Amino acid sequence: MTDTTSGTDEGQVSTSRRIAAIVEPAIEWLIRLCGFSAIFFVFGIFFFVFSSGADFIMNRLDVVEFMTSPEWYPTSVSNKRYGTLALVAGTLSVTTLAMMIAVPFGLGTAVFISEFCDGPFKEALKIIVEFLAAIPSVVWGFIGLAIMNPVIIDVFNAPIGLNVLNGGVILGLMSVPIIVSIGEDALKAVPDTYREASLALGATKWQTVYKVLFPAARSGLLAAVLLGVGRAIGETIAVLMATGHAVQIPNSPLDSVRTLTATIAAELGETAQGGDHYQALFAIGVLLFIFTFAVNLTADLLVRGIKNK
Amino acid sequence: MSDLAKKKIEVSGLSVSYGGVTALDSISLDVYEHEILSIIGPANAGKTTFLNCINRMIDSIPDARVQGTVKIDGDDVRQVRDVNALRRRIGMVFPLPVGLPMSIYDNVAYAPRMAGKTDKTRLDELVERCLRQSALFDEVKDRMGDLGTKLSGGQQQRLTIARALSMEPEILCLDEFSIAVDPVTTMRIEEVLKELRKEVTIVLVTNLVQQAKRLADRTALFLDGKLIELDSNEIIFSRRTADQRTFQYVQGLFG
Ligand SMILES: Nc1ncnc2c1ncn2[C@@H]1O[C@H](COP(=O)(O)OP(=O)(O)OP(=O)(O)O)[C@@H](O)[C@H]1O
Ligand SMILES: [Mg+2]
Repeated sequence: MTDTTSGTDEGQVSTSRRIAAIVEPAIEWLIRLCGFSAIFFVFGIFFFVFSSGADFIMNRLDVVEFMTSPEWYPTSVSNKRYGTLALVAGTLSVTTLAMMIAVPFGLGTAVFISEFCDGPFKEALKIIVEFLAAIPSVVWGFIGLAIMNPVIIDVFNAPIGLNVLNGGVILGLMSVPIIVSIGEDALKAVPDTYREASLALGATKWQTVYKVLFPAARSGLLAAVLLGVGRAIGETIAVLMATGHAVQIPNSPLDSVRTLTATIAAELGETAQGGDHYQALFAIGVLLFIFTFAVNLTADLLVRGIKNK
Repeated sequence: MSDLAKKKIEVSGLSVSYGGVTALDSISLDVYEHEILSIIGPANAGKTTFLNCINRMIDSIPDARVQGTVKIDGDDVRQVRDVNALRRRIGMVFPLPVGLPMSIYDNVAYAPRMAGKTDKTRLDELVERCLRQSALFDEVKDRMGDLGTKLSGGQQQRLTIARALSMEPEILCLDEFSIAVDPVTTMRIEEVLKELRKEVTIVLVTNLVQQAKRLADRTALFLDGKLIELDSNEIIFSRRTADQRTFQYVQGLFG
């Protein structure tokens, strides 16, 4: 009896082994394929964006003007200008302001949720944050237009409330949920033993957050901030609605601006496909690509730098 | 210990339950100044819970209910306003080594710095003294800037001890410190503890009966949250134990 049982067992074992021998490599290949496809898509998109503007970029684009001139007159009949400096300044000013709001606010909220709340209150807060993340960007734009605009006019006595300040606040609020949820994950991943060790040494909760949890979670927190930056740079509709649509280098947060993304969104529909203007917008796309790449690369180097220290 | 010795910690009627489950059941015992009291007992006996009541780490467990009193130098720890100041008086070493994510130097200097002591030369002295006390200094003196988390397990445990000593505590609590440490390092740390008892009062939770026998002046046996017996090592490690279970546990005949 023992013999038969062990015989069937062995049979089953070897069958399941044989299946595993086929399935495991297949799964491995599938995963590998997913990984490669990510690379493929990134390059594919970059290639598409670049090739759509390639003719213009290679042959007729004055790179110096493109990078250093604030004059963007793509539709002028006599004096076409393709300078993006004002647009870059628009993007940078709005993004910088957004981050000045979103980073402290987002990280603060992440710390609060992860370290200072528990039970149903914590869950409720997390749900609210997720809800914030789910608000469509056009709704944010509408808030900028309908609520922030009159408020800014009132409070700052500004002629118009659609400006860097408005766009920055809106973008900041949009980036907060990302920073909160990823930041909270990063803090949650820090082992409790660190907290206990620090508290048992007589450190306060804040000192523990500041001196132990931040360093321990730094790469996750940095990722949270950068995804927030990425969202801010890439956001289009909301900033289009909130920043006032004026191509100029801002002198104060109350000046209207236009961002790179808003320019593409606003103008692409009106251009002749394949024309210089059309292609110039794709050149802006390439510029945006380079921006985000630079942000990610810096982040990567920063994280590595900290790690090796 | 004679009755003349000063009582450092007085525990009376200490009970702890976690959401209704009893972990400690009216424990009463005293720890004398400059003695090593060891606590032995099987898993879930409540040993760690007991230590957590001394430095009030139990506060951070939301569903823990504590009754009874723990007094240090006559003052009830639960009446203490500044819990951080209390914890600075009590060094705590956990079962698994915890190198904080900072340099070796900063690990040891952490508690003093957080308490506002930032004088560089004083810190240098302090760090060196604590690392010497925990028998780690010679191994790390040339790489004080390296991450504490990159040390070996045994080294990290000695780093943890150095850190626990950095506030010049009056009481040192160790919770199964040798669990992740090789026997050689364990012996070195034991030597360190024998030295330290001149300065501090030590509560040593251990699941190595022999360690309790080697190190302690007195030993307590915990069982299912109850204090079964507490007496001098001469009694506990003899046939003359008051409770049959103590004898069985010490002899390894338990269960
Ligand atoms: N944070 C907690 N929440 C709920 N129950 C807990 C908690 N910590 C401990 N307990 C329970 O309290 C009892 C005593 O646990 P404790 O950790 O004090 O035992 P111990 O003697 O230290 O055991 P070990 O030798 O395994 O470390 C156990 O039944 C345990 O399950
Ligand atoms: Mg324990």
